[in-house]
Amino acid sequence: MTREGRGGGSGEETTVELGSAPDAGPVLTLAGPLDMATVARAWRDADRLLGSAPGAALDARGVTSCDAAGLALLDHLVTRHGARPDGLPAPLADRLSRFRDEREAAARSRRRPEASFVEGLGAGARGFGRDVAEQVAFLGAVVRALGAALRSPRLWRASETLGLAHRAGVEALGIVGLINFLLGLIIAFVGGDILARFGAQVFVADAIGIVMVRELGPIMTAIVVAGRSGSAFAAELGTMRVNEEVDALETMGLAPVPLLVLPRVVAGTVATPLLALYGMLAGVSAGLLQMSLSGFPLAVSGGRLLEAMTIGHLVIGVAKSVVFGALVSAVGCLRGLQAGRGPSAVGLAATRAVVAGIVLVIVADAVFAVVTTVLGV
Amino acid sequence: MSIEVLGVTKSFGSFTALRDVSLTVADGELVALLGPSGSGKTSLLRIIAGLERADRGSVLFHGTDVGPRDPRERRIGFVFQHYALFRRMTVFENVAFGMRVKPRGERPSEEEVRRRVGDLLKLVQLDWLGDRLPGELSGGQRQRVALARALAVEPRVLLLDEPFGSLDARVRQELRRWLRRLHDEIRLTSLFVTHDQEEALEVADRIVLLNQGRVVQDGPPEELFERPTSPFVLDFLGNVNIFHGRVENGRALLGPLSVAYPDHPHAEPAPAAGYARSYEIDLSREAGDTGFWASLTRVGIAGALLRLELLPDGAAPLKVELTRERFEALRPVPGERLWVVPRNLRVFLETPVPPRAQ
Repeated sequence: MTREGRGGGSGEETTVELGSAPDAGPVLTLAGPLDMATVARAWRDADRLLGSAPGAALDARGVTSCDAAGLALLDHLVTRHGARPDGLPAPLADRLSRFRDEREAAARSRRRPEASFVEGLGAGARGFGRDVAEQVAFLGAVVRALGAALRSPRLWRASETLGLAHRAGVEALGIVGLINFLLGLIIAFVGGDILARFGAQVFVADAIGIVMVRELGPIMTAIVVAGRSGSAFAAELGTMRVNEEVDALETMGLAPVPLLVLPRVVAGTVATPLLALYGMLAGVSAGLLQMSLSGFPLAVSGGRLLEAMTIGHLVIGVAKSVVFGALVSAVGCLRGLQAGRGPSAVGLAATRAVVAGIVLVIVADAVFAVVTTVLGV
Repeated sequence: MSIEVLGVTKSFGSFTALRDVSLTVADGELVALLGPSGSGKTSLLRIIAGLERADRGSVLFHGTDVGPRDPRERRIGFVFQHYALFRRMTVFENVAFGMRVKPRGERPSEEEVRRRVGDLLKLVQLDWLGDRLPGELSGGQRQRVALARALAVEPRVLLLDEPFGSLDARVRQELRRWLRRLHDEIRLTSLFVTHDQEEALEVADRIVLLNQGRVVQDGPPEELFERPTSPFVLDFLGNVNIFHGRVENGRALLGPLSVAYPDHPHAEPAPAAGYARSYEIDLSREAGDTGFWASLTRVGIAGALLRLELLPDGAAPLKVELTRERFEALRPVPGERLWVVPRNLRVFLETPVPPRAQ
């Protein structure tokens, strides 16, 4: 039995004791007057005693008087320490519940009903910060899962990863080829038109090579992957989230990141650069086609192209699409896992995945541009 | 394994789902968490499972705080409302999944897995469906597979979130009886969420009734039903009729009714209301000393009971339930005037909201 006793302001002693009842566990017994003069000490004593005994029962039969300060103490014991107020005498319990209602009402009325512009801005910034923090934490979880999978290949879900890569890669060949071919054709026509004024039409080959391999090929491919696979990942994981399958996995002892996210991110990261290579080829051949239509033999245009295109451009283009592929598939999975509840949650997750994927691709491309300029490659 | 919840509070944005909720589930007990939608019961279950974190308060399993532990470390079995079965796995694989993914040291051998899945499927009476996909099963069968899957990991507690919520009435009744028998057989500490008072009354050892994020009453089904501590409990556990009025001088004066109310002997009147369950009302053709006249507006059949609607003069309509025998004895016709006598009127003072200080 621990006991803390102190003289009260009114001559009577206020005591705080921690004991235990045979069947009810720890019991905090308060006795004497609980008022402005005595509460401060009783508060400190009770805090110390209850630090080791959360969820104690309260026994306040010995309390001779109790003012608002005393009620504040009781409220504190209940809310902060989980003390059980069921043993309080009825009048005191009644006053305590009124006190708590009052406190909550006061807390409610302090809140302002309409948010001002500044508040909205702050809330938005906080939301953005939280989103960034979640993305970083998610990235960490993915990298950790990847590390674990590399250390023990048994965790590798190879057949699923291959299937996902097939869906994200092989099945996208048609659309990636078409888009990059047409894009190459457009650039060659517009560029050829302008360069022809200077009699420099042969340089279309340089332009098409650098633009398609280094910039637009990887970007367009990543955007197609975001639209096809990023949204699909979000929809799949979102459906699992809404159907509580993700929760079911967690209760059975499985973390969703290694099981669901890692195969998708790996599949996306492998498939995107391969697709991008194919897209580059389509774009460049469209440029060569335009040049041969304008009367340049393939030997001339092809020679120009090989001269302009260094291996550096190709390496940067492929490196970019590796990063884009990882970003797009990871953000797709994240949006899927973040899906809320209800029938519209899956569609919303897919939309958010596409938007976030495209934004991330452009931002990453800008970062690449700055870095390569500074490095001079 | 007992469960203890101490002072749990949880808000989602500005909405407070749980306010300072405490409850205990003793070892081997089957407890129902009952409440209307939005009362916070599912949030509480998810907090106990570790799928959600409480803002304040703690959850104890067998006296140990499990707050910092992940769901997978808590060793729980969770049954979801919409089954959450893995759609591309067979029934057998669904049940075996939890065992097969255990870390190498704890993983049972493949024969052991086969034997235990077989036992579990027998327990839920579905051993002949092992190679089907979940999509080929009926709702009741799927929910039993979900239960077998939850039990496969040998949980210390079983948590069920509206397990029969999306099934039709008949299957639901069958399954709830089956759940009760199953619990009597395996005696696993269980907590199930429901909004269906009949389900809670029929199945549970104890009911914890929640409203607006608070525990309103906690006790065995008979106690909640017979001795409700507030009008909310009374109303939630059955159709009630309300008679508004006042209490003074030890009597409650509720419109045409007057009953003794010794708890308020003062002359100063206080607003009050009397509550009578729909089957606690007598109808007759002759007037007695207490009661009032009302005209019968509608007769509906609800299985073995008949639901009558009556309109007293200048008051809200009344809901009355009669057994078929009593109805046959009286044979009332719509439009007829009948003498209404509430048999068991419970009076509660109408000041649940304390006056606000200005």
